[in-house]
Amino acid sequence: MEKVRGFLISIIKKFDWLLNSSALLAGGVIGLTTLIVIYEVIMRYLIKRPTTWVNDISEILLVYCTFLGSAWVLRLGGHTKVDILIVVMKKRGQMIIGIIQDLLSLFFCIVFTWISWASFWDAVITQERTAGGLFSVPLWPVYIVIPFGAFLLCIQLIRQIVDGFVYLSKGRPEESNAHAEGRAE
Amino acid sequence: MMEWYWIFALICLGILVFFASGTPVAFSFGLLNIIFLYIFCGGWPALSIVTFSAFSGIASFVLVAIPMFVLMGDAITFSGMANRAFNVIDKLLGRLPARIAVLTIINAMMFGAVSGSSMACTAAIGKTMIPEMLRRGYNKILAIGSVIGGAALDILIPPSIIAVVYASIADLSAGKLLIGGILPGAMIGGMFILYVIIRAMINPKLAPSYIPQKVRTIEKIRSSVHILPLLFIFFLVMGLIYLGVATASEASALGAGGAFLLAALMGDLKWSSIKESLTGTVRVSCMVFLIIMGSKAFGQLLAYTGVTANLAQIVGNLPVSRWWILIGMQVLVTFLGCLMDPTSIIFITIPIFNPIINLLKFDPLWFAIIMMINLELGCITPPFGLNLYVAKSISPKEISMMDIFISIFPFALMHMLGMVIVMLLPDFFLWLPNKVIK
Repeated sequence: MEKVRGFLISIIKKFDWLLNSSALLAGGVIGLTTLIVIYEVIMRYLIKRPTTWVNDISEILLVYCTFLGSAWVLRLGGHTKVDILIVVMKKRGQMIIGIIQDLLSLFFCIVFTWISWASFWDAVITQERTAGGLFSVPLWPVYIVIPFGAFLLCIQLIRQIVDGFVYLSKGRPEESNAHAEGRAE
Repeated sequence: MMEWYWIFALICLGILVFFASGTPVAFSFGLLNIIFLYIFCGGWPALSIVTFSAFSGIASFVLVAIPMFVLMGDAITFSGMANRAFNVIDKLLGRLPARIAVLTIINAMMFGAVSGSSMACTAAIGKTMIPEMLRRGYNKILAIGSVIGGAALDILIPPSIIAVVYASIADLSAGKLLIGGILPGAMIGGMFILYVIIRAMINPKLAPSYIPQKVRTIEKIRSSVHILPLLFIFFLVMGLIYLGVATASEASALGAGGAFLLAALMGDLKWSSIKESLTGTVRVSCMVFLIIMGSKAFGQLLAYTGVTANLAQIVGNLPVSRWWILIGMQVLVTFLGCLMDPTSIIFITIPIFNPIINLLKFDPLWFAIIMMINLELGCITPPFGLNLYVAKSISPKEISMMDIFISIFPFALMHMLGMVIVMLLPDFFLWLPNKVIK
């Protein structure tokens, strides 16, 4: 039993590390976007040689940022929700509703992982490219981050659901203090 | 195939159920999309719309402005530029009735001009100004009201994240909408300032006057230097957009870069603060972008099922003046504003409203400005205006939720008055944005 527990904790730690590094990477992506957009303006007005790639690449970077960071934001509880009914409930009711929310979200994320993976695979086979005038890149390296991010969302949701059930049965979650802290932020 | 109105009713019911369950808005939209696309648009193949809209919705150059504005605001706050500028205003403002309340409103508007998030503004301004006003014996209702009212203006005063989101969903020029917010924002802010001054003149007990520390004129001039970085960034961003030198996204990136550069020049730039700003930016951007993805697919769902076209037809042919329809739409938005946050409202209503206002031949930019004032109102209307809860969380204990609800009443009324004025004078408020050089 102890061994299983140790194993689970190490997996959770690894997953946390993955989320944190994805988020940092997403931050790096934002920094990079800032720099290339500034570069474009400078090239256009000071050097008078506008680039062809900045607009398209920065659009793609936004997609990367979104799907690299979403699961991390979910762990922080940062996705907006309408909590009209929830705030008036008791703690236990909130936990139950929380599990229902996570199950609904999980259903979407599983379907989304699946269909976005299908689109990615489709793009690999057909060698589809982005619709760009002067500048066009293959679509699959862009699409690959979507199922990746959706998959991370699934794992994080499963973890929250498990935590919720553990809380309901025991009183408080034990295995993932990091998660509880993350939510409290 | 079902009649379109049944589908529409089911979609509304779906939104209601998913939102009320507290499922994150992004996933609620997603669920709604996959369920309805599967049932009404031909099974699995139709679901590829969801992936496609994940890409096409997010990969849009306009949206670059959102992370850039967040970064810019962060740099200005952590570098202390904002605080130094507030101190300057404090010194410049002479003896006035309700002096600190006026100062609060001006600070909130200035903070709005650099941050773009009215919640962050409520928290930041409230934390310092509410205790200060209470210490000076200000009436608590007036004190809280001026913080929440002033901070709400951030949606209108550029750079505003909500304006960028709106422009991207409604296919408007983000630059024009940002510029268009300046005049109404300044007007409503002016009303707030007049209001607190008049209240204090009628009943000086509400805001006991005090003699501010005497500041010599030479000192005033010397300290004014500290307001320059803020002005520089504001005019860099807005000026570039106005002159048509750069798009809103490019200007925002220059603004963010400029803010970091200034912070570095003043020696306030640390590696840890860069990292913190970037991850904070990821947090806001991911939240907004993930909803945009769902909302794009939602718009397509409404279009494919025929809801958009049919609804626009029916509403457009109602036997009443188009002004009643406009007012009806605004009442709906105000009502939604009591229940949910501004971004979600934009995502739900714009795909439905846009075809209607086109059919009624209202100017979409003008409509957008009215909507933004209305969304501000939504942030501060009970029971679920988010800013009210932010204000509660940072206020001293003796201030109850009821005090907060009462305090915003006059400010909410002035917002409504502002909305009516913008409705009556479209030409005046569209003059500035239409001057934007393309």
